[in-house]
Amino acid sequence: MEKKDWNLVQDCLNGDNKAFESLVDKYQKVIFNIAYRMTKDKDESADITQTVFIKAYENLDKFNASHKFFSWLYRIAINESINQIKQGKKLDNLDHDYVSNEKSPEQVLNENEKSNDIQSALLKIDVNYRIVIVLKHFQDFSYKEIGEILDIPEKTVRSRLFTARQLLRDILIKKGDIKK
Amino acid sequence: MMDNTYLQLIHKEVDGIIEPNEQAKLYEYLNENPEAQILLQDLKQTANLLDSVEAVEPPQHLRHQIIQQVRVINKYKSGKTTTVVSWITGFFAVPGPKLAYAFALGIVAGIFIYALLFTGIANKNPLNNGDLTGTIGLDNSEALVELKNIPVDLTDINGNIRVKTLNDKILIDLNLNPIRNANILINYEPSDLDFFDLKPTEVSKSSIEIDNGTINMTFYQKSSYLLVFQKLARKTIPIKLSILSDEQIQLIQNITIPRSDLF
Repeated sequence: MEKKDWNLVQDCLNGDNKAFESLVDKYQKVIFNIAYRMTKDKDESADITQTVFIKAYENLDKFNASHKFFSWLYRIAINESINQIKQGKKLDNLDHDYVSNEKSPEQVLNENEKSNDIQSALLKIDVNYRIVIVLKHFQDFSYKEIGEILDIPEKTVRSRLFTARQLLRDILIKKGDIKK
Repeated sequence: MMDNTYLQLIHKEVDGIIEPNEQAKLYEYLNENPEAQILLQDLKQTANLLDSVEAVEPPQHLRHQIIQQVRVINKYKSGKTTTVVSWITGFFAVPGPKLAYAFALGIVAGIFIYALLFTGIANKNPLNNGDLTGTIGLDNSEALVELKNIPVDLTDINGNIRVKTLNDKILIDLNLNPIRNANILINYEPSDLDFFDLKPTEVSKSSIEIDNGTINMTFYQKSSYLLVFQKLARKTIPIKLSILSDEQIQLIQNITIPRSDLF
């Protein structure tokens, strides 16, 4: 485990709440993004992020120090996202206003459209494929790290990722986002 | 049908993790297989599209909300561990319960002595107890009483706030729907009341700051909460409740909790 995270977890277990705030600062954006890419709903994603940190806080004493803290946290995030998806929450909101950037309105519109197409395509594939795409392409994890987070062999990660990309490619061709 | 080995190499090429010897092998294969070339191009475009999607910013209130929830958990945990201890110390610290139990014990002992001295009582018709007088037990509980129902119908927020009492607890039931962010301030004397618990009663979005004698809740959308306070004083307890929007006071309500000896 990364030394800094380890120290923060230990400080937190010793009653230092500021240490937990540092962990929130470090990981809240990533967790929110994982949830958002899994559910495409900003409110659900905020709820999931909150639940992830509360569960992590309540179970810090059960955290196995031989694992990476972020793997543990991301696994909670993925499980929570899957739980939300299983509960059949609404998944098709378009959150145009959520990407903060300073671009021309045309650029923002085009990118939002493309981003929404990709997000919609993501929601059409099975959740097990969606997870590996989110971790690989949106969080830039290696096959090995994805395997650790999902607790599956690297070979399975590769197989799922390849299938997922081919499924997305077919959907994006149909939508006209991939030019032939 | 494409050979799985080359399919694997195509994906490794897409991810930029292909070894030079594997790359040479792949490009040799691609030269002879236009179908594989198209697949590589499509998958590269797919990967580029996925990589081009920008990260979204979490809502600004999220961090605050998480930290406040953690504080509430800590508060709840510390309250929970001291409940039994504080109940026992509280029980022996005040004379009321001791006297009540002593009185009840005296009554039971009196009935027992009466039965021993006048054995004929056992032969009497059990329904004919007109010669027995006195009190056997005391009902030491209050019902849930609503003290105030405050309808909120303001430009920026609507809903209602209900203040109730139950034995030694004061319950403030907040059902509020803000048009834009609104703050609810609850001020009280810390020696009169202890903030005991916070229960979201439905999907709720708000943050809470608890300071000495002040609770500041920010409502971001329609939310319902039940705030629970424990009475610490046997006297009339004043609570001030304010609603603010854009840092401007929209409503002030002074609530008086009547004196209660039943705790």
